[in-house]
Amino acid sequence: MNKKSREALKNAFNIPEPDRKELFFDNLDVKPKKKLPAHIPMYISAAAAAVMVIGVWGNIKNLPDIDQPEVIDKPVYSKTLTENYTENIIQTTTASSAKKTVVQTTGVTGTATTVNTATTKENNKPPEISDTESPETETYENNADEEIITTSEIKHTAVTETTARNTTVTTTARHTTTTARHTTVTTTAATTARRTTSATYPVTTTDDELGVNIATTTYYENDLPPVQIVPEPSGGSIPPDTTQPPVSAEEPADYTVQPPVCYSPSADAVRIESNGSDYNPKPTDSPQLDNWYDLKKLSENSDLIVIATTYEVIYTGLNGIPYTQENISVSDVLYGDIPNNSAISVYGIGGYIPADEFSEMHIQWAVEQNRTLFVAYGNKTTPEVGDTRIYFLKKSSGNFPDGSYVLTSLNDMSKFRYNGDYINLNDESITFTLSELYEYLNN
Amino acid sequence: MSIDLRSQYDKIYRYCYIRVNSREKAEDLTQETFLRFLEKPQYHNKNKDLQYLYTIAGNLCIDEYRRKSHEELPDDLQDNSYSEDNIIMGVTLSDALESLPDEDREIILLRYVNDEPVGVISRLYNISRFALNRRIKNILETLRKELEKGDFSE
Repeated sequence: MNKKSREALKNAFNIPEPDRKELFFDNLDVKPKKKLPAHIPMYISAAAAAVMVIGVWGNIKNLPDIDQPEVIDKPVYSKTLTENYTENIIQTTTASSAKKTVVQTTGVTGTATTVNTATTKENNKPPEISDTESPETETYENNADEEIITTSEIKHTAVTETTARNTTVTTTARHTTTTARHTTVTTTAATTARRTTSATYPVTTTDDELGVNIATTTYYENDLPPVQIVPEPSGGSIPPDTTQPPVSAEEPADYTVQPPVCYSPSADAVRIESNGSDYNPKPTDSPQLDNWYDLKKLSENSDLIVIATTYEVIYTGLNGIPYTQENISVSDVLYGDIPNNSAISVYGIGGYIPADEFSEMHIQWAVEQNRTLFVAYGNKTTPEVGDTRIYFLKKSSGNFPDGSYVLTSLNDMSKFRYNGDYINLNDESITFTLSELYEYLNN
Repeated sequence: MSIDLRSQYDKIYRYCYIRVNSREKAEDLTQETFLRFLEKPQYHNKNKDLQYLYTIAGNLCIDEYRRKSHEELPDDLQDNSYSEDNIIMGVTLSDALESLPDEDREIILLRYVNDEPVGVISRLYNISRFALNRRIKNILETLRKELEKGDFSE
């Protein structure tokens, strides 16, 4: 539409001009917003950025040095402590060099990683190394003589690998030092005691069968609660601090379950070597045995790998399949998320079962009724109370009681005994060391 | 505020006038529109000021129409249909506009007299831009039919 037409339309509407427009805007007190000059926001942004930079720089400057704990009176103390630790590590390495151990030392103060040989300990005395002269005695005495004041407790974490008979076990200890005009040392064990000893003097127990130092529990005449002491490298241990309340031991947890049924073992039981594929009809939850000769495969399929001791053996069955329930006390968790010192129930295939129940599912085994069978499923041994083994376990499913575990391979291919190396119960040609196992687990 | 209120005054006034058909009332409603617009900071949205102004004015006109329906017609009501100017500029066009529905007349006013963008008018009447263009085309076609003479073309 051209301008002429627009004008014609405007006139056709015949709209009179407003006559109060100017008056309205004169009385209207509307002040247009003044825009800030362009440079002012720039200055504001620059000032804000400068403040932020100054603040960050100030915070960085005021941060405590991560290499040195905060000390008020004698900042030299932390340095001395570090030197003592370093000295221990070096000398321990010398003592252990004959056994081809490796020392790794981190640069962070208070954190040290050492690999040492496991030796015996004497408590209430400065720790000693059995093979060579130990420098640690002097070290701790020096620490005790220090007079320092710290604003907060100084924590040191030591990761110690203990080697015995070519077998390495890693334990983690938290070493907390709290000082007030005198040095106090409290050691908290990451692993809890499996065995406790009541004695006037602290006693250290060592599980020679597994080659693993078991954490010690110490009782004192003043009836203080026990203090956990982690096995110290080169046989040394940090003297417990009797002036501080000891850390309470981890409560043992009982995760054992009740078996669905109990069968009694019989001396004249008929031994049957079933391979797990002779069901008729085949149950839906039939066990699938496999040749778990590969440690890596065994590790990858396990939810839990523990060192544990059997304290109860129960023969039971599910759907005509015999199982053996082992209630075990876990002393070391190599992989998994249960606390140490737990008690769990482990189901492994095989065991004693009445012949009539077994023949319902396995008609090819024509055995006389009213007899007891022992079905081996390839197992060479039967579990005994007191056996200490490495177990490769999976969380149970199906008809197994909730909360229980099953052997990863269902049979004893998932259990290893210790004899220098760890040896499979069913196939003694399958062995491994803890180092190899850790390598699998770490990978 | 992204618009010049002074330049919008005439447009709002014309919009109010064709709805209330009274200069005094239209100017009152126009000023009331601006006052309400200025009182509410939330109206001062970028690129929507004009739409808010027309919406406020439209609502005020509706209120006025409702109030007026209960009042008697004033004695001084002007009859602009046959003013002298209309006779001079062409009575036929005015008659043609008068024959249009009120909303169509508003659309023609907004589009060709107030020269408002299609987007603003379409949002004001809650129709799409394409629908508004088709509607304007139909209105112009209606006017063209009413006028044997004239130069109405987009």
